[in-house]
Amino acid sequence: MKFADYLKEHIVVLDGGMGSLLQSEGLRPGEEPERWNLTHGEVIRRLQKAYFDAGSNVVNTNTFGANSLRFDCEELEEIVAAAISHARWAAQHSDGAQEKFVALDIGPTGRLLKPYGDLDFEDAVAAFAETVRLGVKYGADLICIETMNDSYETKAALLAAKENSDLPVLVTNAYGADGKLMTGASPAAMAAMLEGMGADAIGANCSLGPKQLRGVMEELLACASVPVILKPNAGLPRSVNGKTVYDVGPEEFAAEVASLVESGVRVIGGCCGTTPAYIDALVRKTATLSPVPVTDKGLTAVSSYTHAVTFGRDPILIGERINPTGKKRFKEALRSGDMDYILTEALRQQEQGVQVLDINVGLPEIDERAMLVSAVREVQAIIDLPLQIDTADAVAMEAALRRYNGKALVNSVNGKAESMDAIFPLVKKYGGVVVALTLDESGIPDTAEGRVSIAEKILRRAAEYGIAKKDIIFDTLAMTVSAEPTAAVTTLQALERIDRQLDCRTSLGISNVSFGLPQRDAVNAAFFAAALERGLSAAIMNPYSADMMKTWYAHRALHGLDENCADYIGYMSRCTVTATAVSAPAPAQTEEGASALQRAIGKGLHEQAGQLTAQLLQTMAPLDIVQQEIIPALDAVGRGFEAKTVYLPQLLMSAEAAKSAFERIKAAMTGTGKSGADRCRVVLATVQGDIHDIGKNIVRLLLENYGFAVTDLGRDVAPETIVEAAVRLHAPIVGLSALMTTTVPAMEETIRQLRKAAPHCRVVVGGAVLTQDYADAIGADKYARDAMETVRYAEEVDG
Amino acid sequence: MMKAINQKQYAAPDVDLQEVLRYAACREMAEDVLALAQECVALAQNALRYQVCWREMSVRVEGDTVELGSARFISQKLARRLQGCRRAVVFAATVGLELDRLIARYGRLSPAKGLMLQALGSERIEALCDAFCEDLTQVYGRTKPRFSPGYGDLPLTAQRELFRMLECEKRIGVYLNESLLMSPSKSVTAIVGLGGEDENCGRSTCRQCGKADCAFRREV
Repeated sequence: MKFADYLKEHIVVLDGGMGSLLQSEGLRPGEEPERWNLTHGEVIRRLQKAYFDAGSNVVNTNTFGANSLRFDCEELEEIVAAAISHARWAAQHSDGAQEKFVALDIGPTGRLLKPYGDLDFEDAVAAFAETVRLGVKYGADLICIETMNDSYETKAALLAAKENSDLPVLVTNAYGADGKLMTGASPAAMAAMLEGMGADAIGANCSLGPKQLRGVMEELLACASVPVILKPNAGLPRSVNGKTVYDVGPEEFAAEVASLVESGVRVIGGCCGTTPAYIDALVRKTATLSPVPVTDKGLTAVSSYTHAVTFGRDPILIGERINPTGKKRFKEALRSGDMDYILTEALRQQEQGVQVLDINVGLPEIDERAMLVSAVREVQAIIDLPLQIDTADAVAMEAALRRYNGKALVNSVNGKAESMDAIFPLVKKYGGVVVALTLDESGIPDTAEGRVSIAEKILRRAAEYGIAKKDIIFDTLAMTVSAEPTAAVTTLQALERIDRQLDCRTSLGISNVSFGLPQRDAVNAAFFAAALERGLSAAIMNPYSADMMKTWYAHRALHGLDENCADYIGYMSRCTVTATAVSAPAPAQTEEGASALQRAIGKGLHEQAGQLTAQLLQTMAPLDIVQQEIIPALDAVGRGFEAKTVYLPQLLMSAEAAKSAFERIKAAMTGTGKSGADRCRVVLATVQGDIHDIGKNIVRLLLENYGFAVTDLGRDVAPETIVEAAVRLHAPIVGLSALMTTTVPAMEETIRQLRKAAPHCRVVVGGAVLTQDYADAIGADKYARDAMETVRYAEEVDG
Repeated sequence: MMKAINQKQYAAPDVDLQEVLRYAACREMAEDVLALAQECVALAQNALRYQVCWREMSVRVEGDTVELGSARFISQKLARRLQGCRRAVVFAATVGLELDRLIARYGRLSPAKGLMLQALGSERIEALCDAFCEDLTQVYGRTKPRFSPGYGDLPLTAQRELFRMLECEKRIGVYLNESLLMSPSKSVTAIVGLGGEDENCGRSTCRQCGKADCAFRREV
């Protein structure tokens, strides 16, 4: 029998712990257990046979850490080949009558993925892929990905399994006592991502005992539409006379696990501290239980690396602001590769309460694929909301979905055959919920019936690709009501019919409806309310519109979605506070306005500095404000810092206030062809191998304030990348930062390459470990002990 | 013999704002800076997870060579620190990855907050290590001040050995990268000698350090 078929009808029993058994057989601490496949084959066979004898259906190969990051190609192949042959031998020589399978075991690499670790996602995929290919070559029946404590690494492993085999894949994660992975993911988030990518069963192993994992199991059982796996430790470890013992014995363990089998768990086994005796007890305890059928929960869910967002009766807000359409300042940011604009918009929208962020960076003159991937990466580094990836370019879409950490919302597909054939395979492969527009080759139907029938066509085609209707959200297309009086009504009717008749989730881009009308917010909010009333599950909207937000809060309060109206009350009280703050008299804007701005910068009041600049812009030329107000204020603070009367946090608060003043200036100058930066170009980077960037960010902020055009290459930057930028931009100054003694050699190498390729370039270095001597030794032009010193040096070079 | 690896999640130790400001290179409790620090404490509160894993090891000191279990280090300073100890506790502590995400978020958008969160993280991980070491003193009686790779002449490469002993990745989610940096960044590994001679017990102080011009040196 094939494993996949067996899984459908039975409770599957996996094996128990291996590491602890190997230690009692003499494996020394620090010794690689995988090498025992080659040196102690008979031990491995004996232990694995004991598990089959105890009644395991599946025994994992001894390949937990067998990947190309730890072993060279040749040895890896020997290990995997031997490991599979041992497990196969055990299956053949055990006289147990149960169905028996051999699973290729894949554990974590032991490295953390970027951006917080140093292993690239694709390198992780490649490492797992090699093991998977060997597993297929030597005849494993299935793949077990286990003990993963990071969602991104789990995705890399599952992707490698799916791209390199057709074997069934079981995936289990190591959840902590708080019910989450080390890097933050909840069980629901993992379920959304793993199911979306086609895992055959998902669950938890290791870290805790069956009792402590009950909460995780309940959450998975509530949201998973595939079989749920439980492979816990024998309770919690403690040290007795220097030996690790676990506090749950075989019978108690089996009873705990069996009670979860009664609740619906379908695949069971043991991890650390469990032995064949535990599996024996487990088999006896569950022999008379019948498997609880696995049901489709029908959840429409997307996820980030921390949590899932489910679309249903409680409408979801999708922030629309990261989209360059009609935004000059954003277009300029995209052209200059200014990621901070996107990050600031992302954070502001999150603060307004959106639950998903739309990311659209499409602009004809930029490399959209590269920009989209980097926007997704940068936003995910600092914001935990699920993202809606919004592009018309299927190549960019695939690149972004591949790198996305979680299950994304895909924006969009439509009823054209070409669109469906491009997008559905991506959704199938990487997982995702796809927004489907009800239009096709013949355009947008004028009637609700027409749009519903396109929706039906899309559902049929999706089913052919193996995509369930729960993974499709229909957008019935809000059209401009000022151009076509019945536009809104048609959209709403189609929406209602898709919700009721097709039982599918819906979404609308709200703002389109009001084009060409005055006071658009009023029309948008009324349309939004009407759509919500008809069952709208999500809206792509402007979260800065108070009318829209009020409508949403009120709808939730009116429909029993907001307990005690707490969210509504909370929002309204925040609104009132903001309104009072705004209407308070702005400090001295007339003849004292000038000095007021200088004071605001000096005191580090960034909101005030922005407001005062906006006021000044009505009467003063932008560059005059810079020269007469901002620069003198900054200089005063800078001198204070150098004289040690102003401390670093105060210097930064002032610099941020100046930055918000500059933002207003920049906005006023957009399109005038002037940038406000009148100083030379400076390229900044934290060197390869180093991921600390706070110092570099401080230097950047100050340099920008002083009018330098800064190109920030980020952290962990290869020497070649820095040299390329310095040459391309013909930058007279390159600033390098390093925190660790171990990364100073990378700094030295960068300087060496710069000398060769860009001899015009002056190199200034800084960072915790550097000293004047160190800087001299590696050939830097300047050692700057703090950010102000870098600014002074840059001024000197710029002349 | 090698003892089992233990692990524990700690409750949040009290925050010492003066220490936070010291790590932010600020020597004065100015009102605006204090307000910023307090804002950051509130921001970080739910992001912090205080975790420690540790293991008791045998110690042998001979000249400048220190043997911890089967691992061997050459370090005069560590040898001196463990003089007379026959056992030691090796530990790793962290306040978790979520704080790194917060630091990255504000490092990009508000370096002042980024700096302060960074300083707070340093204060938090030190406070966690102190709390753990006080527990050790409770259990074992006399203990030596903790000693980490990178202190004195103990090279950072010693991290690799400590990581092997402690399974930090699996136990508390701390990883070592190729440049020997730890992720989460606010993590510490250290060796604590148990028993031994009377002198040099308890907490280490800035006075024991030769770097008199350090920006972070404590006055007392």
